[in-house]
Order: sequence, then C-alpha cells, then structure tokens
Amino acid sequence: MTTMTMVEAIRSALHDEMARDERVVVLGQDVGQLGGVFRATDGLMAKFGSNRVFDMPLAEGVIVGSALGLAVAGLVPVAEIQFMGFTHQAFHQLGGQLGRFRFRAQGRFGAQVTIRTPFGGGVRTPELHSDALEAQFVQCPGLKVVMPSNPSDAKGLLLEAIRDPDPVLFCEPLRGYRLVKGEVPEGDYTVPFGELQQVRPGGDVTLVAWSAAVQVAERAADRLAEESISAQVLDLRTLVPLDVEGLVRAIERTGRCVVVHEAPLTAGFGAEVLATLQEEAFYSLEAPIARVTAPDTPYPLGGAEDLYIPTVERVVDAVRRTVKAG
Amino acid sequence: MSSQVEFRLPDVGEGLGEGEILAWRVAPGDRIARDQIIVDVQTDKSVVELPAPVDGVIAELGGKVGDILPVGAILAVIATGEGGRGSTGEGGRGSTGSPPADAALAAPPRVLASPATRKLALELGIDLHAVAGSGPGGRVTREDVEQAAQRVPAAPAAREPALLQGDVEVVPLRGLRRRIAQTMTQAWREIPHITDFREVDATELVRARARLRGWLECEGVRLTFLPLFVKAVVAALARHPALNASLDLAAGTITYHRRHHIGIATATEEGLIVPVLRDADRKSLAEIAREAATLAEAARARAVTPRQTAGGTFTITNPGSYGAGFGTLVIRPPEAAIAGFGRIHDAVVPVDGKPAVRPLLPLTVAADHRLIDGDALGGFTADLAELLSNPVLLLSSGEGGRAGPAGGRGPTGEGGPAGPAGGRGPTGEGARGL
Amino acid sequence: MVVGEIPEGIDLLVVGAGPGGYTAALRGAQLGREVTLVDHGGLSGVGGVCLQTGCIPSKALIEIAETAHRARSWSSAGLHTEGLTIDLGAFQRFKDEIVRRLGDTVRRQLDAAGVHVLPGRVCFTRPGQAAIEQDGGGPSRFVEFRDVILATGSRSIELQELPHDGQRVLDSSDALALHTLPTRLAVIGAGCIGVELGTAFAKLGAHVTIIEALDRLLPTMDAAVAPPVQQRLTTLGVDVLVGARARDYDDRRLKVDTARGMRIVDADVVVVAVGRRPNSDDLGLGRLGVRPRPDGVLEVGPDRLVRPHIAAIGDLTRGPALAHKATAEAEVAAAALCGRPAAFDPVALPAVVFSDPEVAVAGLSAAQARAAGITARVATVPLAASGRVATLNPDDLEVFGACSDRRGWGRNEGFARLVIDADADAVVGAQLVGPHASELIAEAVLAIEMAASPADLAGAIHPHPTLSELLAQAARRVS
Repeated sequence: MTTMTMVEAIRSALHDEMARDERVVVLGQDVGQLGGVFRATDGLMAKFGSNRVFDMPLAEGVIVGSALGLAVAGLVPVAEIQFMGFTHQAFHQLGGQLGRFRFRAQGRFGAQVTIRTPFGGGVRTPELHSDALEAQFVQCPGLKVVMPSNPSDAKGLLLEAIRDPDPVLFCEPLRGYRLVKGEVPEGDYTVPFGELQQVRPGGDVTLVAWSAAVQVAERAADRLAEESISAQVLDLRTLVPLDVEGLVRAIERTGRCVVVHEAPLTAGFGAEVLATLQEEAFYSLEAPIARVTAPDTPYPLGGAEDLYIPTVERVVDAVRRTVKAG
Repeated sequence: MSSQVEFRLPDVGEGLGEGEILAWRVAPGDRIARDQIIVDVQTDKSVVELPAPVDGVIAELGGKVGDILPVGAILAVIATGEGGRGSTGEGGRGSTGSPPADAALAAPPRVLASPATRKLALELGIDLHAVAGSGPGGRVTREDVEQAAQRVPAAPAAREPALLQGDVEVVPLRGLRRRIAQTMTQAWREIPHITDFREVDATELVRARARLRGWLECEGVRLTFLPLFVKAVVAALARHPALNASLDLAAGTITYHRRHHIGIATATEEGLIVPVLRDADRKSLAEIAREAATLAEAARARAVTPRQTAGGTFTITNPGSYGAGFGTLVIRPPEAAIAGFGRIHDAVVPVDGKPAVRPLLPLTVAADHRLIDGDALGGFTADLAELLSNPVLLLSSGEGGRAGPAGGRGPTGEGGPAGPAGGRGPTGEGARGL
Repeated sequence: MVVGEIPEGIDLLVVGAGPGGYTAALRGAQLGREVTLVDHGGLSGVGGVCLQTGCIPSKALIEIAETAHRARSWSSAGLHTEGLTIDLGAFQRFKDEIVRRLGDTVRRQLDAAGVHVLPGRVCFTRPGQAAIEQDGGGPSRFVEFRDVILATGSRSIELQELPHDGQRVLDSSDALALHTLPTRLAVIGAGCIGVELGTAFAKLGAHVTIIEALDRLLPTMDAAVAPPVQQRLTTLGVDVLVGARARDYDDRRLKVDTARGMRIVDADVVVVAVGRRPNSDDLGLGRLGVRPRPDGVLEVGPDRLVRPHIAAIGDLTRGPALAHKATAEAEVAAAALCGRPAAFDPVALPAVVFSDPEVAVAGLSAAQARAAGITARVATVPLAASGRVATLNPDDLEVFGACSDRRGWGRNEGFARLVIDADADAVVGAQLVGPHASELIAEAVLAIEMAASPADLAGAIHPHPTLSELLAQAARRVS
C-alpha cells in the first residue's frame, strides 16, 4: 500500500496500463509535452514516446472523434477533455457516435475508448471549468459514467475503464485531486463497475453521493453523529451501471435517504436515484427522499460557488428534516 | 461572585420537539426557589408546568407568551447567588479583563492549588471552585481533585485519534455499540434498581407448551416459551399497571401506558437490539409467536428499522436461551421494569414433604425503585410467577374493556395505529429508540 | 496549475517559527498530528525574532558589555584592565554562531518530529484554506488545513516622526547587529528593550541618551523598581529624559520636546524602542472570519482558541510580549486543537529586564494585591543583607566619582520584596532588583503557583552565600 493523492493514483494507473498493454494511447490538450495541466499524464510522453502520447488541438469534437477512429483501428485510446464543461463541444461524438457504436454494429464489436475529464467546484475556476454534467451523459445510452471519489477507487476504476471494451466517461473531481490522500494497493487491481461502496455504516439515514460530494457527506455524517444521528454514507462510484441492489438494500435498512450532488437539481442524477428507490423500495421509505444539490443556474464565479455547491451545513439540515419527518 | 444558569426547555418525555409558552409565573427580577413552578408550556398533548432547577433571581426570560421554542432553547436565565459552576461558555474571549500593568495575569480570587493539580482538574473536568480543599488554608490538593472526580459521573474522555500502539488496539466507539454504551450508562446512573428473584415451578408450563405446540403446528407456528412469557407478563401487568409506566423527573410526571409494547431483547453480532412487539396484549399466542420470530430474524440480520425498536413500555429478556439462570438486569429508560427468564432446568424440590424432580424456571424482575416499592414489585412478581406456574389462568385475560384501535387516547395521548406521522411512543421520536 | 486553486490537504498548520510556533509544532507532532510549519524564512527562520534578532542576541550583547564593565570595576580591587578593548565585529561573528547553533538544535528537533517546514508567507483565502506565497514571486501553493495555530509574533512600532531607515534610525534588531560602536546613541523608549539597550551600549563606551514620553523609566512595571535602575544609569553617564517626546531627527540632531522646552540631543544613531505591534494585519484573517482588536491583538479563550480550529499564541494574544508566554501558550493551543482539555491560566508570569541592576517581577505587586481585595503584607529585604553581594562587585564609587549626598543606589544596591496574602498565608507576588534577579525569580514563581506559605520558603534551606537567601530572609520576616 502506498499513500497517494488522487492525481498521483490516476497517473500511476496510466503508467501501469500503458506498460501492460501496448495498444493504449493517450491524447488530449496539453497531455503530452506539458504532462497535463494537472500533471495527470506527467512523464508518459518521455516514457512511452510521442507515438503513444500526443497533444491535440483545442477542438474537443476532434479529440473524441479521433479517439473513436483510433479504437476502430485497433488501439485503446484514453482521451482527455481538459474540463468537463467543454464536453458539450464533443457531445455529438460522445452521445451520437461513441455511445451508439456497439448498437450500430448489432453487438458485434464496440469502441474501447476511455474519456477522462476533470470537473467539479470548490477551486475558484473561471467559467465552464467546474460544471458537473454527468447526468447529461447518463442519458446517452451506450456510455458508462464513472465517478471516483478517492485515490484507490480512481486507479482501480480507471484501469477497469481502459480495459472495458465499451466507451467509458471517467470524471475526476478537481477538488479532490491533491486534497484527498488515500492508500492505494500495490500491483494490478481493478474496481468493478456497478458496485457502490459503503464509506461509513449507519442506521438512521442513508446519504448517497459520488465524486467530491462523498467527502461532504462524510463530514456531514461526523457532524450528525454528534447529534446522535447515525448516517450511512454510500459512494455510488459508477452512475452507469448503477448498483440498484446496493441502494435498495441500504434503504430497506434505514428507510431514509438524502442524495448529495454538485450538479444542478432538475434532472440531475439524484432524480434517477429517487425514481429508482421509489420504484424498488417504496414500502421501506419512512420519509420523502431529499436532494441536496446546486440550484438550477449556471455555475457562478469566484466565492459565489460557496453558496452553490452543497455544503456540510445544507446536508446536515436536510438529514435533520428527513429524520424528523415520518 | 454570582454566576448564571441557563434553564433550557427540556424534552418532557413525549418526544416533543418544541413547546409553546402558555403563561409565565415569574418576571425578571423575581427571586425564585428551586422546584418552584416558573412557566406553563403547552406540548402537543398536554400542558406541562416546569419548575426552576436552582435557587436564584430571574435575570431574563427566553420568550413571551405564545412563543414556540424548540427543545433545548433557553427558557430563562437565572442568576444564582454563589459562585460554583458558572456557565461553561465564556465565549471565545478570555475573561481576565485588562491585565495589570505588571506581568501577572492572575484574576483574583483564585483557588489555591498547584499547577499540576490545576492541570489534573482540567483534564478530569472538575471545577476547582466546587472542590473543598483539604490543604492548609483551604488549598486544594491532588487527592481532593481525584476524590471529586470519583463522585462525579465520568467526564467524557478526551477525543484522541485512534492509535495502534504495541499492546493495545484503540478503536473509536461508534454506531450501535456507542448507543448501547450511552443508554446503559444513563440507565445505571439514573435508575435505582430493585430486583426480585424467584424460582417458578414450570411443570404446568412445560406441559402447556408441549400441547400448544402440537395445536399450533398446523398453523405453521413453531411455539417456543417466549410467547407464553409474553402472555404471562402482559396479564400480570394488567393487574400491576405501575410496572408499565415511565417516570419523567424533569417534568415531574409518571406516565401510565395503557398499551403494552413489549421489547424483546435480542443478541446480535454487533450488540444488543430490542425490537418491540407492539400491543402484545391484543395479540393471540400464534400472532405473538410469529411476530417475535420475524423480529428476531430482522434483528439478527441487522435489518431492524427505528420504528421497530421504538415505543417499548416493558422489556423481556431471555438469558435462559444462552444457559443463564438468574441475572442482574438493566432497565431500559424510560421504562420502569424488566423481566428476565432463565433456563428451565430440572431440580429437586420438596413436594408434600418428599423430594421430587421438577422443572424450574428462574425468574428475575427488576424495577425502578423511584416508582415501584418492594411490595409492589413483590406483588407483580408473585402474580407473574403464579401465571407461569398455572398457565391455565391465562385464559382469564383478554381484550375486554379496552378501547379499540380507533380511539382511546390515554394519558400518554396515544391513539390508534401508526398514522402517517408514525407511532409516537412514550420514548419519543421513532427514529432513535434502541 | 493552469486554473483554479487546487488545494493540498494538510492537517495542522502552524504559522510562524518563533519560540511559540516551533514549540506548538513539536507538541502537535508529539500528539500525533501531521504538522506543517510555515515561516517566511523557511528553515533558516526557525527561532523567529527571539533567536535571530531579539532575546538571544540582546543577552549576548548585554553579557559582553557587562563583562567589560565589571572587569573595569574590579580595577580598584586588583584586576588590571589596561588595554581592554571591544571588537563589535568579532562579537557579531560570535553572536551569529550561537544563533546558528541554537537554530540547528531546533531544526534537528523539528526534523526528528517529522514536522514539514515550508518557506513562504501565509495568506488565508477562505475558511480552512490558505495560500502560501513565495517571496521571490512564483506560483502560490494552496493548502486546506484542519487546524491552524497563528504564531506570527510582533514587529517594532515605527514612529511617524522618525521613519526607520536601518542606517541612522534603527529598531532594536538593527541595534543588535551593529558592527561598530556609535559614539553617541539616542534610545527612544525606556521600556525593557530601551533600558537594556541603553545600559549595554553605555557600558560598551557609547554616550547614551534615553528619551521616554511617560514620567518614569520602565513605566509598565511597578514604580518601586525604577529608582535603582534610574540611578544606575545616571552613574553610568546616561542622560535620561522622562516626559520627553522626540520630534525630528536630522543631520545627527534629535529634537526633543521636554517639560522645560525643546532640547537638542546629538546622536549618531537613534534606536526606536517604543513598543511592538502584533503581526496580525497581513494574514488575510478577515477571510477566516477573525477580526483583531484595533491594537492588533487577537482575542482568545483560556484554551487559546479564537474559534474552533483556529488558535493564536505569543505576541498575537493579550499580555506581555514574552517568549516564555508564547511557549507556554503553544502547549495549550496544540493540546486544545487535539481535543484535549487545556488552559493557559498562569498565576504568575515572570517578567525580567536585563538592566543594571536586573529587575524581575512575578505575581502581584502590593498595590495590585490590595486592589484585588487581598489583605496584603509586604516584606522587603535590601540587597546588602546578603553576604554574597559584598563579594560580587567592589563598590565602584571610585570609578564613577564619590558623591556624598548620593541616595545610595550603587551597584550593590537593590532589594527582594515578597507580597503575601495574609488571610490565605500564601505568597502572591515577588519583585527582585539586583544582580541575577532574572535567575532568582523562578523560585518565587514556583512559590506563587504552588500557593506556598512564607513558612515554606523560609523553611527551605537556601545555600550560603548566595543571593537566593534574600528570598528566604524576606519570607522569614512575614512568617
């Protein structure tokens, strides 16, 4: 076990997998010479050469489209979209092309492509650099959507993503890049998709979160413990595929749920969690499920983001209300 | 040197989250005595008179008539005459005032105690002003502080990060274990237990169970002794309602529960869980058997919901299932009593002056001595023992005379089955009962 | 980083590596925390003002000055000192060496404890986060911390009328770094620092004038300690002007307003020592939700916390700006942030002036005791009551000229005074004026903290012949 930050874990995954599988190539803006604006691809070009690690122009559609082409040609591309807010530029390639590829092939072959993209708030970025758009890609059938929250999951899920024969959108939380440190196992390992992880056990209420919101939920659980409210914290890890059984089992035990995510409220993935739980676990619910999310506005600038993304206080408040109801 | 006491709205035992100020009996500036009623507060079920916790003078009132305050809000601030324990919060500001021109920072009058003693007092959470010093001139010695610490309930331990060092493994106290620890501490500290131990001749009971078991098998019920214990307890409680009650010292009330929700103590891997069998007096033997089995399974699977553990009025424990006989029992607040059933075993007893072998059931009943005197406990235990040794007597109990599910608000204000608001038991919010 | 403030997570941040800061860092590490210590000098800043430009350098300078002066004063008793000279350049090299060695000791301790020491200036950006800015420009590092201890110390107050230039208008740190002795030196401020520096430079051979705006020397201390020091300065040839304000300094002439009109004081160098101001203005504390008082002091509770997770110690908090206060507060702050009960509540915080004679006080003066409602008894013993005093220094009337109507505060004059709480029979205060008062006061501090009775002090055997017997004698007078 080694202690790593999240960006170190991601870098380690890329180094390991490129060494293990010579088909893996890395492409994106600034990933080659610069080693990535967050140093996630640092050292790859020097080690594996400019045939396998190359810089792309400022054209997200081209990046994703090229990745698809490279995959069709037999390579395993790991492409980076520098900030998730700019994936809209590549939306057609992601949803219209990449996601549908196996469908068009009537199941016979797929596109083994991984799109890595940093996102998320709390780091005072300019416009479009923090937007959380994961729900929009969940609506693109054929795309898997992966949201790690800690270093060991980041490495394991990224390796799983690269090896997955179908396209995966791998979203990395900016705030956690250097803040969250964790133990990462030595050697080769993967984390399977579709399995949520219980980060904290609890019996009174279930907090469901993914990516950077997991840390917010954990801190809220600490605060709630002081009020004798025992809050379970679940890290979904992957939105597509979703661990429905894990969610249902948790709610059957606690009967109460609060979902926390950074993306805006309406049609955010929290809505999908709620719908699923009311379908599968309606009779276990003791109180309406609450969502703590950003409001339905564009991502604000500067310090206003502290009012925008979910805070520990808002989560604690929502839990208190959920626990009192019913 | 005077200090101030904040009198906060207590949870008067009905699980209320707030109360409305109906009437003030005092005004700022009034001198009051401890236990003097100072305010009337309306909860959603009743009007409660709240007494002052200390002697003193009313410094300020926390609200006006008609205000609704949450539990824990300040009702009144009372200035007390002596020093002693002042309010713990002096805010984030130092309280020593402007320093003397000299380098000294002491603010007289101070307690005479050495630095090591002062540090010990701080670590143990002891207020030096409240300790009588046995040293010369009233100096407080280390022994004085240590003795004071033993009289006071243990101060919360300093929170240290979990360490693994050499011979010990320190693990944070969390979750169910922590809640059990808290509840047990409260129970042991607050409730003076008296306990009655009896050996009951279980001959008839064993026979009855065997017969009933055969009768109920075709209904798919596997009958253990537990449902019979429940039936007997409920019948005994009908004659001794004092043991199906809750004491609230702070509010100064005794609540007699008209309904009988029997908690069944169940051991699980993680700790003791007590799911509650609600309205046990209104259920048939078969229903009790089925429900007890379901609850036990849920408890062992750690799938018991807060609703299933809330609202108990009496608890049964079955240490006989793991071989114990008599045992000391801990009452679960806010209940008033608990009954324990040991392992039924053969023993030699005198029958008509001659030795005979009979199955004996060790019976333990513990009760809150603040509510229940020895003779009341003895009476209940005697009746319970009678019912257990002559189970045919259980035929005389039933549902007659009680209000049906649709009505009947008792002194606890409970009515009807759980509505959308959930079953508010006398213990309070369903969410957190153990 | 291209965009955004991507923070690194750290556990306990300590700002400032002076005596308060490094003590807090070591204690935090002992308690199991991961400590990051930031000082604008980085590793070479360890020790802070106290080590680098304050306490340690000044004690070294005072020592060499006193040694030279004492040697000369023994000439009447048989020690011949012709040809005794002082080389301040060599002194500075010696001083730098001890500063380096003492700093190395602390650096080794920090390293052994696993404390990360970073150079840079801390500027808080929002609750729980700070930017560490490098002096030479370059990108800032952002850190997110769980707890922080502020230990940034204080700086000399500048006078508007005499702006600091480091050449002619110096602060105390500059004065301690002088390589050549100024012929004429003016010291503005007769507090501890001003008196210490003025005395030392006079003994080194400069002509010194001390200018104080209030009406006596050492105005923040008990009035009784000033006269021996005042007289001593006079015999050393130092001009002391009280009730005087410096107005202007130009062309080596200092204009001073006194009660008797304007005076010109000739001075090659002026040292401004009118006080120190906490370094709380440049940290961005507002973004942590912390507001200093107008004088820069941060209000803290007995546990040294300003708010949860934020502690302040040393010169940043109320009370005298003393290194031993900072180190004591450091222990409390570290413990408190680790969730342990801790409080800074000393009964006696000693204060020492390395003047001549030395002055050391702890606890309450008689006036303070009475103001607090204590029935106070006072016992004063003159220095001459100790046999040891006679052997310390020959009476130096010869060196400085006899004066038949002199009050009598010579080198061997001074006193030991105890203040007793008569009802509790406990020692509550002590004031010592005389040689080695700075060392002797510790016994009194212990007596006050333990609430010892005078009988305890008197009953403990003090070795003979030492100055410490004076305390026992004072105690005997009231027990």
